[in-house]
Amino acid sequence: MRLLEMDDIWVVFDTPNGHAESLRGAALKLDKGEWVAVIGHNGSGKSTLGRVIAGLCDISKGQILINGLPCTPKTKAYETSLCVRIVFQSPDTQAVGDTVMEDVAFQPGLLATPGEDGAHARAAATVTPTATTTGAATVTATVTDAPTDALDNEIMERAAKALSLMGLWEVRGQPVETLSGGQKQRLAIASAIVAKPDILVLDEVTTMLDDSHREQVWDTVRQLNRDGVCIVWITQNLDELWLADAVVVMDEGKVAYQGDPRSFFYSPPSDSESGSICERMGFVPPFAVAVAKELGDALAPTCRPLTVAQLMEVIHP
Amino acid sequence: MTIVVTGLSIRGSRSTWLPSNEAGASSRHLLDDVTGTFASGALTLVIGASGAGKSTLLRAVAGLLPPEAGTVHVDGQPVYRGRKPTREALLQMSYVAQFPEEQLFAGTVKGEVRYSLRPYRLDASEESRRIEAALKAGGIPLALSQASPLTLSGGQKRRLATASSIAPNAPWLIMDEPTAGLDAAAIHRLLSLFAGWKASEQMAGDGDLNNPTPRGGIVIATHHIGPLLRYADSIWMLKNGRLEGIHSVSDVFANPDLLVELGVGVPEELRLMEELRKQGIAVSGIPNAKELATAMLASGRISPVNQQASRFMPAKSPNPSTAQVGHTIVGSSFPVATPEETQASSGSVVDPRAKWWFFACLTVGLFVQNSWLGLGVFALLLVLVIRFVHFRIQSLVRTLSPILWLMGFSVLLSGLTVTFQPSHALSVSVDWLHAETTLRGVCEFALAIGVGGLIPATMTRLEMKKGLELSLGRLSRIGVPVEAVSLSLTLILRFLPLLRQEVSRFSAIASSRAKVPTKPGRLRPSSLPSAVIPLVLSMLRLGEDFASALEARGLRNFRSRGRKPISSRLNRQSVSVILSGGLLFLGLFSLRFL
Repeated sequence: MRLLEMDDIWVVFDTPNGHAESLRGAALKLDKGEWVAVIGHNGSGKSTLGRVIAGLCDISKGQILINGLPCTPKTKAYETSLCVRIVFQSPDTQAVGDTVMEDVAFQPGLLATPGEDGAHARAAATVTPTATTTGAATVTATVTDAPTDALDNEIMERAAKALSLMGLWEVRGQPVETLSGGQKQRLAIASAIVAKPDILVLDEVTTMLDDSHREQVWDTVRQLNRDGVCIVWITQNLDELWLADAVVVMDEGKVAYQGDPRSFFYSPPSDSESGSICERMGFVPPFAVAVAKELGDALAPTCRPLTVAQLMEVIHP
Repeated sequence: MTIVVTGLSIRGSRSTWLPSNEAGASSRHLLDDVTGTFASGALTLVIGASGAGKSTLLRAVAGLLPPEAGTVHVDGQPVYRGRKPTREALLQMSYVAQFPEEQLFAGTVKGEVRYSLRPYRLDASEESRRIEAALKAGGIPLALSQASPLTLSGGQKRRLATASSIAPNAPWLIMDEPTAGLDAAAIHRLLSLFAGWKASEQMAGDGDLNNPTPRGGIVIATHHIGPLLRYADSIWMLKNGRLEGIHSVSDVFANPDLLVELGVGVPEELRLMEELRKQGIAVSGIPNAKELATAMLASGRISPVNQQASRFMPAKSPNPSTAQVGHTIVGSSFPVATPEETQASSGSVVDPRAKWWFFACLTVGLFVQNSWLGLGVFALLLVLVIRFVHFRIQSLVRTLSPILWLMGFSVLLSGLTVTFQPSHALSVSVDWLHAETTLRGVCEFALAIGVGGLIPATMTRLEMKKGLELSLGRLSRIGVPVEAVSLSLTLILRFLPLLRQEVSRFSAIASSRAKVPTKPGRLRPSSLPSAVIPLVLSMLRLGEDFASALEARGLRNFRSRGRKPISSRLNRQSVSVILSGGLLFLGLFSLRFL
């Protein structure tokens, strides 16, 4: 069973000049623990796709299945059956709290939903593995009747863990505005993972970061992915695709290609065509791939390095 | 012709437009004694980790941020006269801010470019020729020239903003992070724009093709050096506000450790060269992919054994590429929270409800005063409280100073008596008795603002929100949307610092485009539209981003019914704050009867 399955998704906005179609029949499948990289030229609908997955955007047409059961975004059912968190590009507008700790601990989605009997029952979206394996799509979140202090403690504990994981524990007391861009972006990711998401959508989170901070973010996200979180990584940088299991290319609101990164960089679109899918679609491959291609016949057809380290493996010491 | 920077130093300050990641560091040097020369006819990259001072340097050079020490000269002429840039210097430079698409404001695409040309006072035919040339160079179809810039796509907006910056054909082009958010095709277009600019610049000098003397150059600050590196003629390396060195591209290719020491990432091509060198495969110069492949082939070291398919086929092979940089590795080395620390960090000690109560008591205690003595005692108390919470009184006075001036003026005005004499002469006198009544009211008001100023100083925004929710929670039973109200208040407070930052940002951009020398943070009426429209758009965008971020946290809709605020028991400190608030009020109230 797929974690999330989207088919023929249309998103249409009303603008003063008429309708603007942001997605035109996009389709996507996501599995638990999978890392999907979404690329596409400016304005191809990448971000809208991310917002639809996160349940933040109404769809005009199409079907979304969560664990095999249909579900509509922006509804309570969507929120409770699947925990999706999204992190955006701009590091400055994502913090809600004044200090690092306060920001991570601000989790209104996890806090305070009333019990019908007026008791202080609160739904903590603790996703239990049993719930997902039994396929009960609508009950992946368990409602715990916990005393308030215990729940506060639970959130504090998770917040502390998230900050430790993101390397922000030491600055927990600092005001958010004193952080660097890389730290702010890691803070946004920390706040997202406190919710223990099934899917984490990262929308160009490394654009504003310099290369060393970019690698910090890669490492932390890889850690999460290893723990079973499905990652949707929206990016402009093709040198980040080696991180992914699958590459999705968006073009004019549709998924123009979906496949593994090696085929994307090395395979021609069809037997009769020359050049790789990547080049045919107007993208510039990363340097390691470009060099590997120049090596031509010296490399076996199955040898398809994606990074400098992989390319160096063909050199015999 | 050159830009010469001598001993440039800038400290962080709240009043000027600083890059957001640099603004927090108010006391340290953002730029520390930077000295160097930007050569003409060259593309100079300014690189460094975030917060190294790249953007600050560019703004200082472009006449948007007067330095505290040091000078900037363009073509021998000083850029600043006092705190103001000179008009001559501004005319020499086109500054392109980060995300320049946010600066668009005109009604039409053509008008946008024309606005940038206005300070150069060209005749009509030359102006249209320049507009057309700039749109063409920017890759914007002429058919769009009457369209509104706001209806363009994101990529087109960026190109239009770049086109309006190059239209004036100023000798110097100064760009902050021009590749951020661009896809590969757009970066390619930008690079060819630079190439064209450089070619025309070398011709533009004295027209002597054999011996060109270029008028100016391109200066680019970037954190994403990969795409631009091989096109640069010289590279300024900044670290913690200091200029570590000026290097050529071949220096950097020969010694990638220069980048490692700077704390910026090493681009893939340099990593590969370094690895090949370690393996004894010599590569020199600034090789492209083909040349590197040739070197690898020539070494005869490509092993068929190492190419076993299984090593390259797993979708996610463990990749050590991040470890090669040799720094900033995230992982187990981070300090981790211990359970005791986690417990200790669960929020502030005093309950926000107690703080609200205390301030409420204080405020009511102020308004029951009926004598100067009472007000004096209250002012003394306020000073004590301010000292107790370690609040900097200067910052309050600075914020309040315009209000205090206004108050002083109204006191004077209320005491003024104007009488018309029968001889048509005016007699003006001041009636101090009248003035005193006003003065007392005004003082009460000022003190109340003082109390109000303490609230944000002692509580974080979310504490204020929680305190409001907990204290007013019962009102939600009678239909008052307490949660919505308290959240809105919190958000407004969240927006104020951003607003201040955006105002100074757009006023700087406006003055740079209009070439009107103004002090940083000030705005001329003539450049009002070019600052206010982008400002409003930017605030809307910020609001939208912020709403998305909140939604992403799971804050989707307010529960209209049955929402019960969670109350927890007050701890001892909170109880004592509540009691002292009450006692304080009683004390203040008794002052009435003295």
